[in-house]
Amino acid sequence: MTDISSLARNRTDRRSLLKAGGALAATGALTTFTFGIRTAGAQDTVSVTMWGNHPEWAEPMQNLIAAFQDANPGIEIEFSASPGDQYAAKLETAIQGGETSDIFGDQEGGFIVRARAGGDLPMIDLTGKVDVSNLTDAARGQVEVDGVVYGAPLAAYTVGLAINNTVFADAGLTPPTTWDELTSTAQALKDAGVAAPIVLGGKDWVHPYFMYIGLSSTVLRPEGVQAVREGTRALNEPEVVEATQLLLDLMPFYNVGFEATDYTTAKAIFANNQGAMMVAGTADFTGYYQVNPDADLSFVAWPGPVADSTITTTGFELLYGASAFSDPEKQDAAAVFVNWLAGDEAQQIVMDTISLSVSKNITESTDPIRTQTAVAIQGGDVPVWYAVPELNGSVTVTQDNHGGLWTGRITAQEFADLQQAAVNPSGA
Amino acid sequence: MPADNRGNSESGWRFPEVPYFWFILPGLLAYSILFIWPTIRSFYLSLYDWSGRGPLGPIVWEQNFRNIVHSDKFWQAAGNSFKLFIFIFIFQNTISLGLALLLNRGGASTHFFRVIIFLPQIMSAVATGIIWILMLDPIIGAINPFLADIGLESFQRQWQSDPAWALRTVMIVMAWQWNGMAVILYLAGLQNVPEDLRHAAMIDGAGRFRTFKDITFPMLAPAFTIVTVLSFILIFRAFDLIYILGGPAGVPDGATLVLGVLIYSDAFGQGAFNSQARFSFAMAEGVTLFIFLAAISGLLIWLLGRREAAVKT
Amino acid sequence: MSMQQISPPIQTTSFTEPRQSAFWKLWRQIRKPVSTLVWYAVMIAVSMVVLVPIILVVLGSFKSVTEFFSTPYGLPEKFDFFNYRRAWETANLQRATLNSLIATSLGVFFSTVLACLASYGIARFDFRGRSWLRLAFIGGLVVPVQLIIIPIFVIMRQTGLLGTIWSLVLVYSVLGIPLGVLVMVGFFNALPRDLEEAARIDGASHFQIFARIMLPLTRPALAAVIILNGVWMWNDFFLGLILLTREDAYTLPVAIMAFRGSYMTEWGLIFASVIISIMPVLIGYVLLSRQFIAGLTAGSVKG
Repeated sequence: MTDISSLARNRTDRRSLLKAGGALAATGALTTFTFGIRTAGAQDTVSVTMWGNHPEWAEPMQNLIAAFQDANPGIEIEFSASPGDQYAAKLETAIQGGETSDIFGDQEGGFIVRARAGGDLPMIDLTGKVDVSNLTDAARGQVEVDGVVYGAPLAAYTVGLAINNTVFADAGLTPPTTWDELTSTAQALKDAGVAAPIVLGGKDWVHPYFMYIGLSSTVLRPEGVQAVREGTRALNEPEVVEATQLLLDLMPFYNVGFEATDYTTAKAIFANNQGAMMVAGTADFTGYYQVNPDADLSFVAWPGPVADSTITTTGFELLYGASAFSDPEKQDAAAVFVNWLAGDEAQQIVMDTISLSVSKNITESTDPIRTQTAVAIQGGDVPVWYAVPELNGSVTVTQDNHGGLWTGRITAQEFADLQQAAVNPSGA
Repeated sequence: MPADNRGNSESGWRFPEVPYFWFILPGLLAYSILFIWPTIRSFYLSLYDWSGRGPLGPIVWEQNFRNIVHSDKFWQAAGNSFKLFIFIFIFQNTISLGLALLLNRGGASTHFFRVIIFLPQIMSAVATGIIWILMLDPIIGAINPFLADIGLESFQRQWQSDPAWALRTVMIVMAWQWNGMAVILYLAGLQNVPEDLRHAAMIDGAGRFRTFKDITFPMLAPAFTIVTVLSFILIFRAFDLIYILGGPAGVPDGATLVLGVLIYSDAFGQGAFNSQARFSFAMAEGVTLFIFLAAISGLLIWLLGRREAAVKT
Repeated sequence: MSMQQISPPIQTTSFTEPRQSAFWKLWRQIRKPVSTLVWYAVMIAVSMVVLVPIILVVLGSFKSVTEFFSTPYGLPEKFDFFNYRRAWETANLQRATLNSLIATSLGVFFSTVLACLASYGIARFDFRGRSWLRLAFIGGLVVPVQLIIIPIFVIMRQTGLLGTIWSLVLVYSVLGIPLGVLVMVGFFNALPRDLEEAARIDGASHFQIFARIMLPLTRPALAAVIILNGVWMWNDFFLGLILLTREDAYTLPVAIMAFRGSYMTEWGLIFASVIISIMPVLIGYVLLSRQFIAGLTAGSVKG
């Protein structure tokens, strides 16, 4: 059981860190004591604030924090969550205004973008205070920029295709693994009277974006995506354009009025057995079961253009770091939490109750969907494009232009040309 | 408490008028600190490329402005905002005005209907948006199944995803929410029309229509000014309701994109994936819209004020 | 000042009745009942257009998501307050309701006081630049709050009020001024001058004249300002999201959005929370409606 040994190892790390932190806190408390500002001793608990998103995770997050507080009685965390689309507005305003929570979650890619842009950073350098050695390479790449550690991701999520087993079983079909199968399965489902063989919420950019990058990545494969980042391949190569063309060819199989369907309605259609397949990430499954507790669902990778070319895209939930605006005492407490979050004890809780773990050592979950996801990733996995700086522009292009695809304003080729124009190759 | 200093006046300084100062001071002070100063500061910062921390970058206003002028999305959004305003303008001066004429009478039932007609106005945009999504959705929406049940299938539409209907749908929802305000304002105007004037016109042999055209309508000029200016500002600034209905990109493909939504999605629409350049561009768009609104509504007030004055004399 | 309704146009006797044919005789007899009937028909139709969507949401708040799919506009299976209980408990709406009440009532109070004082100063005294001052206040209606949120955030941080409900109270108190000035200046302008002169001869100070004589006369306009500002403050989400950084300070819209989340799919729960949030405004509006409509009627157009 590798998990246990790594757990033990991590505990020691944490204990030594705590000692250092405790000593620091004691010094700080002594200083304030001599000035007569505070009368309490070094035993005081440090209370830190923490902002995050995914309000629907309130309960597992509280449990995660409770586990931390049990192990670190000196630190109290006050967590509050805002919905993802508003969280960014809140965080960016706070950073520009000069005060954030003591522990704050930055969006994936955020640490890289901020660190590379330079200037005064809103998060502090946690090198030496946070042990990131057991994180997966991709996770580590998000929080360690040019050798400086800024924090730890809460969790990972993987995006692929959610399957409604009930609908598939009723139609006597199995999930597709190639593009041809995807089209023929969708046709068969439609013939069987399924209202929405493929469910798509086209009101904002999220669903079309993940379908676009998922299908395009099945053509490019991980090395191709890397090549695009380096500038040696392009998103408007003919075989990559095929993926966007497939998005268009599948239009007859999307839910009626999908262009104006919002994210939540799309999810309800799918979970209510009116849809058979849907672009979905790890975080979506909680919502499906909220709508329909009896839903029978599973997760598969994106079908590829040929056999055995499935792919998943993996990204990260918020990257937690310590605020540069906070007092040193709180920064130290924040560092202790972030280090704990990067450890296997926290990551096992994450894997069981929240989303996918970011630790190399944690691969099993009590949740069947997350176990299926771990299997789907084996077929090939690429980073979610917006999380890498070179492909960050793909979001803006998709937001501004996916509607043009559905109305016929632009062709698949023109869409791909716009996407390629937004690539910012590293030239590595 | 300001004392009456009347009589202390000597030379040019007119003491008797000073008390106004003490009345205005508290409001002006609070307003200056928490409104005027932030506005000036934001306008100043919007001229620069600045990431929010550290020293100011180079001046980018000119380039941002040039980008706005060449942005198809901006003109598409401006066009939609304009169409929306024209529709609401016509609606408020026909349907709302007509309802105001019908409600211009006494009685408990009149009061009851006035309360109902004003009701949408007190609801938040979020509530209104959610209500109408529930009505319009192709799958869970109430309108299409209802049309089918009463045998009017041919009137079913993809209200929000059909490019021909999406903006009209937004227009209808906006009219639904803003009708109450126009009715009440016109009602107020109607009650200012002296009754004896209308009677006099009737006695002179003027028909009901001519009485309305020559007496009632001109007297509605002040109400017309307020309705027009207010709906102009509200429509061009409109954000939350249209955002909830049409999403950040104004589905389908910008058909329901208006200026308020465009600015918000440019500033915050993609979460943290938003680039700093796009944020500062959004600020520049906001400033452009503000200057445009201030100029046009100032002009409207001036023009309509002249018309009101002409009516009075 | 009388807000009495004028007699309805349909009851107005026509002063010119030259034709006396049988048709016109009949018409004169049935005109009144027919037009009353038409009037009621139109009003009921319009009320339906207004009320049906609202009623659907009320019905929706008793449904599960599965029921939405089977009966989009029908009655729920049973009227169970399950969604309401969950919304109330999960979102900690007790605390949020209290916060909303504090922020809205204090925001309305201070903005109304400041706006009334300023409007009185602008309307009742002659001095250079008063029309510019009025325009500067009213101009606040044109500036989108998203544009000025960062400097406001900085001010709140520097004063240490950030994250507390008091930051919201301060901002509401100021952002409510433009609308207050718009309505009140016009209203104070319309009051007759001799009222003031008489009081001054009696030795009353300016403030006494304002507080004891002028202000009570503007009660209907005050009601309009209070309700119009109260409605947007009660419904405001953006300022609360940015300025209230701690959960125990959340107002209703922020609390509701915070538990709804972007992944939330339970419409019944959403509708229940929407209705909970509408209720206080609705009750206040119905109670104040007579004052309110009279206030708008009296204040706005003269301004």
